[in-house]
Amino acid sequence: MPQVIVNGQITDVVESNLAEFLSARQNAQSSFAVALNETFVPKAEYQNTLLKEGDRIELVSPMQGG
Amino acid sequence: MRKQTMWQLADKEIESRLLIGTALYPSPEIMLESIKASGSQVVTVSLRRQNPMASGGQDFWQMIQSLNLNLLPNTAGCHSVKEAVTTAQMARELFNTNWIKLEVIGDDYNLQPDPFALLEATKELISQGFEVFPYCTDDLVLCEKLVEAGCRILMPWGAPIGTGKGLINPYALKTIRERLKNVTLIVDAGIGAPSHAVEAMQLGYDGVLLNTAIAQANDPEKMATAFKHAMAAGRLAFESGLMPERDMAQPSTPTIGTPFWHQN
Repeated sequence: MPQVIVNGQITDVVESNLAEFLSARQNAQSSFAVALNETFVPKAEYQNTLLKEGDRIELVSPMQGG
Repeated sequence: MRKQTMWQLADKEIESRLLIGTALYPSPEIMLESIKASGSQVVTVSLRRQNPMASGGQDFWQMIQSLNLNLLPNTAGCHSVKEAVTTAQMARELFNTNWIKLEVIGDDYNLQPDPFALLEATKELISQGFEVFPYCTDDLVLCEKLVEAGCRILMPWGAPIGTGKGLINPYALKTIRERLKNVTLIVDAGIGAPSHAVEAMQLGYDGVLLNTAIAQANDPEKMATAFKHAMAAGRLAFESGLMPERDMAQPSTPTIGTPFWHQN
Protein backbone atom coordinates (compact mmCIF):
# COMPACT_ATOMS: atom_id res chain seq x y z
CA MET A 1 0.00 0.00 0.00
CA PRO A 2 1.50 3.37 -0.99
CA GLN A 3 2.38 5.77 1.74
CA VAL A 4 2.21 9.57 1.70
CA ILE A 5 3.10 12.13 4.35
CA VAL A 6 0.12 14.15 5.57
CA ASN A 7 1.00 17.11 7.77
CA GLY A 8 4.24 15.39 8.70
CA GLN A 9 2.62 12.02 9.48
CA ILE A 10 3.20 8.90 7.37
CA THR A 11 -0.20 7.74 6.13
CA ASP A 12 -1.32 4.71 4.08
CA VAL A 13 -3.42 5.56 1.07
CA VAL A 14 -5.77 3.40 -0.92
CA GLU A 15 -7.18 6.27 -2.97
CA SER A 16 -5.60 7.10 -6.30
CA ASN A 17 -6.30 10.82 -6.48
CA LEU A 18 -6.49 13.79 -4.14
CA ALA A 19 -10.27 14.20 -4.44
CA GLU A 20 -10.90 10.64 -3.23
CA PHE A 21 -8.27 10.96 -0.53
CA LEU A 22 -9.84 14.13 0.86
CA SER A 23 -13.44 13.01 0.65
CA ALA A 24 -12.54 10.03 2.80
CA ARG A 25 -11.06 12.30 5.47
CA GLN A 26 -12.98 15.59 5.38
CA ASN A 27 -16.63 16.27 6.06
CA ALA A 28 -18.54 18.47 3.66
CA GLN A 29 -18.53 21.49 5.96
CA SER A 30 -14.84 21.65 6.75
CA SER A 31 -12.75 24.49 5.41
CA PHE A 32 -9.32 23.53 4.21
CA ALA A 33 -6.73 24.13 1.53
CA VAL A 34 -4.09 21.80 0.19
CA ALA A 35 -0.49 21.88 -0.97
CA LEU A 36 1.17 18.86 -2.54
CA ASN A 37 4.95 18.74 -2.38
CA GLU A 38 5.00 22.43 -1.42
CA THR A 39 2.84 23.45 -4.38
CA PHE A 40 -0.70 24.74 -3.94
CA VAL A 41 -3.43 22.58 -5.42
CA PRO A 42 -6.67 24.46 -6.20
CA LYS A 43 -9.93 22.69 -5.38
CA ALA A 44 -10.72 22.34 -9.08
CA GLU A 45 -7.57 20.25 -9.53
CA TYR A 46 -8.19 17.65 -6.81
CA GLN A 47 -9.76 15.17 -9.20
CA ASN A 48 -6.85 15.36 -11.64
CA THR A 49 -4.14 15.18 -9.00
CA LEU A 50 -2.84 11.62 -8.71
CA LEU A 51 -1.11 10.50 -5.53
CA LYS A 52 2.14 8.60 -5.53
CA GLU A 53 4.49 7.08 -2.99
CA GLY A 54 6.25 9.66 -0.83
CA ASP A 55 4.00 12.61 -1.72
CA ARG A 56 3.92 15.29 0.95
CA ILE A 57 0.46 16.70 1.56
CA GLU A 58 -0.13 19.81 3.63
CA LEU A 59 -3.73 20.14 4.75
CA VAL A 60 -4.44 23.51 6.38
CA SER A 61 -7.39 25.16 8.08
CA PRO A 62 -8.24 28.66 9.32
CA MET A 63 -6.42 29.59 12.49
CA GLN A 64 -5.93 32.60 14.73
CA GLY A 65 -3.24 34.96 13.52
CA GLY A 66 -1.64 38.30 14.21
CA MET B 1 -16.79 60.30 20.25
CA ARG B 2 -16.35 62.31 17.06
CA LYS B 3 -17.04 60.21 13.99
CA GLN B 4 -13.92 59.40 12.01
CA THR B 5 -13.76 60.05 8.30
CA MET B 6 -13.66 57.14 5.89
CA TRP B 7 -10.37 56.08 4.34
CA GLN B 8 -9.30 53.84 1.54
CA LEU B 9 -7.59 50.53 2.28
CA ALA B 10 -6.81 48.78 -1.00
CA ASP B 11 -10.20 48.42 -2.70
CA LYS B 12 -12.26 49.00 0.46
CA GLU B 13 -13.52 52.16 2.09
CA ILE B 14 -13.57 51.78 5.85
CA GLU B 15 -13.75 53.95 8.94
CA SER B 16 -11.52 52.38 11.59
CA ARG B 17 -7.77 52.72 11.16
CA LEU B 18 -7.02 49.90 13.57
CA LEU B 19 -6.26 46.46 12.17
CA ILE B 20 -6.42 43.75 14.80
CA GLY B 21 -5.09 40.23 15.23
CA THR B 22 -7.13 37.25 16.38
CA ALA B 23 -4.45 35.33 18.32
CA LEU B 24 -3.40 35.04 21.96
CA TYR B 25 -6.71 35.96 23.63
CA PRO B 26 -7.63 34.19 26.87
CA SER B 27 -10.74 32.76 25.20
CA PRO B 28 -12.61 32.90 21.87
CA GLU B 29 -15.40 34.88 23.55
CA ILE B 30 -12.97 37.51 24.82
CA MET B 31 -11.47 37.67 21.33
CA LEU B 32 -14.88 38.40 19.83
CA GLU B 33 -15.77 41.05 22.40
CA SER B 34 -12.35 42.70 22.08
CA ILE B 35 -12.58 42.90 18.30
CA LYS B 36 -16.03 44.45 18.59
CA ALA B 37 -14.83 46.93 21.22
CA SER B 38 -11.86 47.96 19.08
CA GLY B 39 -14.16 49.04 16.26
CA SER B 40 -11.72 47.45 13.83
CA GLN B 41 -13.01 46.44 10.43
CA VAL B 42 -9.98 44.38 9.41
CA VAL B 43 -8.87 41.27 11.28
CA THR B 44 -5.80 39.19 10.61
CA VAL B 45 -6.08 35.43 10.39
CA SER B 46 -3.75 32.59 9.58
CA LEU B 47 -3.74 29.00 8.47
CA ARG B 48 -2.13 26.02 10.09
CA ARG B 49 -1.96 22.29 9.67
CA GLN B 50 -5.37 20.85 10.32
CA ASN B 51 -5.80 19.46 13.79
CA PRO B 52 -8.71 16.99 13.98
CA MET B 53 -8.76 17.46 17.78
CA ALA B 54 -9.55 21.16 17.30
CA SER B 55 -12.43 20.52 14.87
CA GLY B 56 -10.18 21.48 12.00
CA GLY B 57 -10.37 25.20 12.82
CA GLN B 58 -14.07 25.18 12.01
CA ASP B 59 -15.26 26.78 15.28
CA PHE B 60 -12.80 29.64 14.93
CA TRP B 61 -13.71 30.13 11.31
CA GLN B 62 -17.44 30.33 12.03
CA MET B 63 -16.79 32.81 14.82
CA ILE B 64 -14.73 35.06 12.56
CA GLN B 65 -17.27 34.86 9.77
CA SER B 66 -19.98 35.96 12.20
CA LEU B 67 -18.17 39.29 12.60
CA ASN B 68 -18.56 40.04 8.88
CA LEU B 69 -15.30 42.02 8.74
CA ASN B 70 -12.54 42.25 6.16
CA LEU B 71 -10.04 39.42 6.51
CA LEU B 72 -6.31 39.84 6.15
CA PRO B 73 -4.67 36.40 6.08
CA ASN B 74 -1.00 36.22 6.92
CA THR B 75 1.93 34.03 5.95
CA ALA B 76 3.32 33.92 9.49
CA GLY B 77 6.11 31.43 10.03
CA CYS B 78 7.27 31.33 6.41
CA HIS B 79 11.01 31.53 5.90
CA SER B 80 11.30 31.23 2.12
CA VAL B 81 9.72 32.68 -0.99
CA LYS B 82 8.29 29.31 -1.95
CA GLU B 83 6.65 28.74 1.45
CA ALA B 84 5.22 32.26 1.48
CA VAL B 85 3.82 32.08 -2.05
CA THR B 86 2.23 28.66 -1.48
CA THR B 87 0.78 29.78 1.85
CA ALA B 88 -0.65 32.90 0.21
CA GLN B 89 -2.25 30.81 -2.52
CA MET B 90 -3.83 28.51 0.06
CA ALA B 91 -5.04 31.52 2.04
CA ARG B 92 -6.64 33.09 -1.02
CA GLU B 93 -8.73 30.00 -1.62
CA LEU B 94 -9.53 29.38 2.03
CA PHE B 95 -10.49 32.92 2.99
CA ASN B 96 -11.77 34.00 -0.41
CA THR B 97 -9.71 37.19 -0.54
CA ASN B 98 -6.73 38.35 -2.56
CA TRP B 99 -5.41 40.32 0.43
CA ILE B 100 -2.29 38.87 2.00
CA LYS B 101 -0.17 40.08 4.88
CA LEU B 102 3.13 38.88 3.55
CA GLU B 103 5.62 37.78 6.19
CA VAL B 104 8.90 36.16 5.25
CA ILE B 105 10.99 35.82 8.35
CA GLY B 106 14.76 36.18 8.04
CA ASP B 107 15.86 35.82 11.64
CA ASP B 108 14.26 33.77 14.38
CA TYR B 109 15.62 35.85 17.25
CA ASN B 110 13.79 39.06 16.42
CA LEU B 111 11.49 37.69 13.71
CA GLN B 112 12.89 40.32 11.39
CA PRO B 113 11.58 40.13 7.84
CA ASP B 114 14.03 38.95 5.19
CA PRO B 115 14.00 41.99 2.87
CA PHE B 116 15.35 40.13 -0.15
CA ALA B 117 12.93 37.20 0.04
CA LEU B 118 10.10 39.60 0.88
CA LEU B 119 10.68 41.61 -2.28
CA GLU B 120 10.92 38.49 -4.44
CA ALA B 121 7.73 36.99 -2.96
CA THR B 122 5.96 40.33 -3.36
CA LYS B 123 6.77 40.48 -7.07
CA GLU B 124 5.52 36.93 -7.60
CA LEU B 125 2.29 37.44 -5.66
CA ILE B 126 1.47 40.75 -7.34
CA SER B 127 1.93 39.03 -10.72
CA GLN B 128 -0.67 36.51 -9.51
CA GLY B 129 -3.20 39.22 -8.65
CA PHE B 130 -2.69 39.49 -4.90
CA GLU B 131 -3.04 42.72 -2.91
CA VAL B 132 0.17 42.42 -0.95
CA PHE B 133 0.45 43.99 2.51
CA PRO B 134 4.17 43.42 3.13
CA TYR B 135 5.35 43.24 6.74
CA CYS B 136 8.71 44.96 6.34
CA THR B 137 11.41 46.70 8.29
CA ASP B 138 11.66 50.49 8.39
CA ASP B 139 14.33 50.54 5.68
CA LEU B 140 13.43 53.32 3.25
CA VAL B 141 15.08 51.72 0.22
CA LEU B 142 13.30 48.42 0.81
CA CYS B 143 10.02 50.32 1.09
CA GLU B 144 10.72 52.11 -2.18
CA LYS B 145 11.52 48.82 -3.92
CA LEU B 146 8.29 47.29 -2.64
CA VAL B 147 6.34 50.24 -4.05
CA GLU B 148 8.18 49.87 -7.37
CA ALA B 149 7.13 46.21 -7.34
CA GLY B 150 3.50 47.34 -7.17
CA CYS B 151 2.61 47.57 -3.47
CA ARG B 152 -0.03 50.18 -2.63
CA ILE B 153 0.30 49.39 1.05
CA LEU B 154 3.37 48.98 3.24
CA MET B 155 3.52 47.74 6.81
CA PRO B 156 6.85 48.64 8.41
CA TRP B 157 7.45 47.39 11.92
CA GLY B 158 7.36 49.63 14.96
CA ALA B 159 9.43 47.05 16.83
CA PRO B 160 9.83 43.27 16.62
CA ILE B 161 6.62 41.23 16.88
CA GLY B 162 5.30 40.80 20.40
CA THR B 163 7.87 43.05 22.10
CA GLY B 164 5.54 45.93 22.89
CA LYS B 165 8.44 48.37 22.64
CA GLY B 166 6.55 50.90 20.55
CA LEU B 167 8.19 52.89 17.76
CA ILE B 168 11.90 52.21 18.25
CA ASN B 169 12.91 54.30 15.27
CA PRO B 170 10.44 57.16 14.78
CA TYR B 171 12.93 58.94 12.53
CA ALA B 172 12.92 56.08 10.02
CA LEU B 173 9.14 55.82 10.08
CA LYS B 174 8.81 59.57 9.63
CA THR B 175 11.20 59.49 6.67
CA ILE B 176 9.17 56.74 5.00
CA ARG B 177 6.03 58.82 5.48
CA GLU B 178 7.69 61.87 3.95
CA ARG B 179 9.18 60.02 1.00
CA LEU B 180 6.15 57.85 0.16
CA LYS B 181 3.29 60.31 0.43
CA ASN B 182 0.84 58.41 -1.74
CA VAL B 183 1.34 54.97 -0.23
CA THR B 184 -0.91 53.59 2.48
CA LEU B 185 1.35 53.12 5.50
CA ILE B 186 0.46 50.95 8.44
CA VAL B 187 2.69 50.40 11.46
CA ASP B 188 2.65 46.67 12.08
CA ALA B 189 4.09 44.97 15.15
CA GLY B 190 5.75 46.18 18.28
CA ILE B 191 2.89 48.33 19.54
CA GLY B 192 2.54 47.85 23.30
CA ALA B 193 0.41 50.74 24.50
CA PRO B 194 -2.24 53.10 23.17
CA SER B 195 0.33 55.92 23.37
CA HIS B 196 2.41 54.08 20.75
CA ALA B 197 -0.58 53.99 18.43
CA VAL B 198 -1.13 57.71 18.98
CA GLU B 199 2.50 58.35 18.09
CA ALA B 200 2.21 56.36 14.86
CA MET B 201 -0.93 58.20 13.85
CA GLN B 202 0.60 61.57 14.69
CA LEU B 203 3.39 60.75 12.25
CA GLY B 204 0.75 60.60 9.55
CA TYR B 205 0.53 56.85 9.28
CA ASP B 206 -2.74 55.63 7.84
CA GLY B 207 -3.25 52.81 10.29
CA VAL B 208 -1.87 50.51 12.94
CA LEU B 209 -1.93 46.73 13.09
CA LEU B 210 -1.57 45.06 16.46
CA ASN B 211 -2.50 41.93 18.35
CA THR B 212 -0.58 41.21 21.56
CA ALA B 213 -1.12 44.61 23.20
CA ILE B 214 -4.85 43.96 23.33
CA ALA B 215 -4.94 40.17 23.58
CA GLN B 216 -2.48 39.99 26.48
CA ALA B 217 -3.83 42.93 28.48
CA ASN B 218 -5.41 42.10 31.83
CA ASP B 219 -8.71 43.25 30.37
CA PRO B 220 -8.50 42.88 26.58
CA GLU B 221 -11.93 44.31 25.88
CA LYS B 222 -11.17 47.47 27.85
CA MET B 223 -7.76 47.78 26.21
CA ALA B 224 -9.40 47.43 22.81
CA THR B 225 -11.57 50.40 23.69
CA ALA B 226 -8.48 52.34 24.78
CA PHE B 227 -6.85 51.64 21.40
CA LYS B 228 -9.99 52.71 19.58
CA HIS B 229 -9.80 56.10 21.31
CA ALA B 230 -6.03 56.30 20.79
CA MET B 231 -6.40 55.79 17.06
CA ALA B 232 -9.01 58.52 16.84
CA ALA B 233 -6.92 60.90 18.99
CA GLY B 234 -3.75 60.30 16.99
CA ARG B 235 -5.47 60.80 13.66
CA LEU B 236 -7.24 63.97 14.79
CA ALA B 237 -3.94 65.32 16.12
CA PHE B 238 -2.27 64.66 12.77
CA GLU B 239 -5.10 66.28 10.84
CA SER B 240 -5.03 69.27 13.22
CA GLY B 241 -1.29 69.86 12.73
CA LEU B 242 0.99 69.68 15.73
CA MET B 243 2.68 72.82 17.00
CA PRO B 244 6.39 73.11 16.20
CA GLU B 245 8.71 71.89 18.94
CA ARG B 246 11.00 74.55 20.50
CA ASP B 247 14.01 74.39 22.76
CA MET B 248 13.29 77.68 24.54
CA ALA B 249 10.37 78.27 26.84
CA GLN B 250 7.78 80.73 25.68
CA PRO B 251 5.08 81.91 28.10
CA SER B 252 1.57 80.99 27.13
CA THR B 253 -0.02 83.63 29.38
CA PRO B 254 0.33 87.17 27.95
CA THR B 255 3.10 89.11 29.68
CA ILE B 256 1.71 92.55 28.94
CA GLY B 257 0.00 93.95 32.02
CA THR B 258 1.58 91.49 34.40
CA PRO B 259 1.21 92.92 37.95
CA PHE B 260 4.38 93.66 39.88
CA TRP B 261 6.20 93.79 36.50
CA HIS B 262 9.88 94.57 36.82
CA GLN B 263 11.69 95.80 33.73
CA ASN B 264 15.12 94.08 33.64
